[in-house]
Amino acid sequence: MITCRDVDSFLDDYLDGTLPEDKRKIFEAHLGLCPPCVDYLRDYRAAGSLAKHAQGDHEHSVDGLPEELVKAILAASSKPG
Amino acid sequence: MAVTGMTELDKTDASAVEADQALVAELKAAAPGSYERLVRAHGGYLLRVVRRLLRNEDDARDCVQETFVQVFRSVGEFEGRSSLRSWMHRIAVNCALMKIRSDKRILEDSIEDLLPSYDDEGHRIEPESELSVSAETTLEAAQVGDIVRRAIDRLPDVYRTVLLLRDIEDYTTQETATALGIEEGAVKTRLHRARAALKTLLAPVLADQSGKPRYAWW
Repeated sequence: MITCRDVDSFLDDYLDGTLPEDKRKIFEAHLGLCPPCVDYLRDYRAAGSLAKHAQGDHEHSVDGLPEELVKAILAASSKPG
Repeated sequence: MAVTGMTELDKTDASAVEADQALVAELKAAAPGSYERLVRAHGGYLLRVVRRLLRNEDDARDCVQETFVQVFRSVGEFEGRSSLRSWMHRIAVNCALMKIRSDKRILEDSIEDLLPSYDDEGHRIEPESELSVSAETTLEAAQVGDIVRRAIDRLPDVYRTVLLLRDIEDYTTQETATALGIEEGAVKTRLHRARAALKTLLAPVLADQSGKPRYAWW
């Protein structure tokens, strides 16, 4: 039987779907007996999803390139344009 | 600054590919107006990319400027194996990572306090709940977004960069290792610690005591 510490070491491979079959069964058997690990897995996965959503939402609310920066870039390029 | 090559063509529609090719031809010929069109078409996107990696707005703007200078100098070597935006994205990320490596000013807290604890038998020790948000409060998406972005910013750079590259920029483990100059095993270890720390930092917003999500859009 694996420990909670072992579960954490397999966590990312489990979420990526790359955990070998034999380890996955042991991992899921532990989850069946350990509510704290079930909660931890749920929150670990949710935190990752929140990070993606937060960045995505931020994308839509940010303005375009400031005009002074556009001018500075073109001046630094010392090329026609 | 190294310009990393791409090994596969991005999946874009035919009109976007044609527009890319036309603009690249104009850039290579230094056609009047072509540089400004490139900056206005892609500058805002690149600024958003580097802002995710850099905590300082001045550094982010410097990085965008350096990226375009590099692009203008290197466009003659661009072979079109990826989209123009993907190519510039990689240059911008490399620029941001170099700035992070060179910035020795930031004194960072240890990540250890944010990682899970276990007893002597390897059983999880559940942390005491420190809810900073009222159980009756349902958080709106904008509020959660701000909390999440601040949490990511609190991570030490060595972990924050891996998290951003893997989970936000969707780099593979190999691409992340190459970008950061570390082994793939180190990427996996740092990513796990970053995700675990982020989970700890976001604990007050993930769920209320009954497990019900706090945020309206989840």
